[in-house]
Amino acid sequence: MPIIYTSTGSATTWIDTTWIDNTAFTATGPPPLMTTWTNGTTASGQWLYVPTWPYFTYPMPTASLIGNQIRERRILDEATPPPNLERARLRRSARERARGALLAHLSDEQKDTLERLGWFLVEGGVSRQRYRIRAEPNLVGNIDVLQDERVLHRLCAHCDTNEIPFHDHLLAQKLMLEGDENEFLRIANRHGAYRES
Amino acid sequence: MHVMEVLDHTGHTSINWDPDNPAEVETARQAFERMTREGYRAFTAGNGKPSRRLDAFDPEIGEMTLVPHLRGG
Repeated sequence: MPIIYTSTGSATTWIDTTWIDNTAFTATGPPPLMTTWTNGTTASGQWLYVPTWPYFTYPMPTASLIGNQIRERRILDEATPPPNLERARLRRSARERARGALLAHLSDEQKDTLERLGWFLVEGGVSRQRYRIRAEPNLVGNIDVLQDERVLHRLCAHCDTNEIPFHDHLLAQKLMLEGDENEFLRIANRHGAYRES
Repeated sequence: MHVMEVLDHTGHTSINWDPDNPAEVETARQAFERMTREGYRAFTAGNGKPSRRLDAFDPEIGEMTLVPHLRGG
């Protein structure tokens, strides 16, 4: 059952709504709350309205009450937002968490090159080979195998791209190259070094 | 509190345990074994140090990260 709004009909400050079936009501402007109200009935000394889309039980709105309604509405919306907004919020949160986790695993120098240049270096745990992990969104061949400053070839291996956020892929690549290099090299596809450093 | 971070669609899920609390250690161990059976790889990690592969759960390790299966691209 939606929440009931009661009023004496004396308000002069209204926002963003249309009243329906308010035969006993004379409004001087659009009524409060950003919703549509229906099933208006009268009660002794008051008009009673039931909103189609729920919100608050309030006395007749004053400017400060309207402000409270808007704030509470925002809180409710954030608690139960539409699915597409919720998905967007979760994706944003996941991206931020993944980026934070990657940075927590990097040295100061690695963080610096990632921020300034979009890549960081790691050293293979077995071979001591230097690898450059480039933070490029498509992840295709984003690991350069370096000899001095020259790119010998590129490697491509990552988790399911729909499974984890972008920075988690970079973290997975770093952990594998350092902690399980041979397995990473076994899995990875090798690409030509068309990209010059 | 020791932590195991499992990379997933939320960024990661953290599983914490106190190494002096057998129940928490057992919960973390079961999670570790379940995830590694599913193909996750476990690494010690953190603070810019090179990572090391873990083949078994060690409750004394303060931080570990579990990575989903990788494939060539």
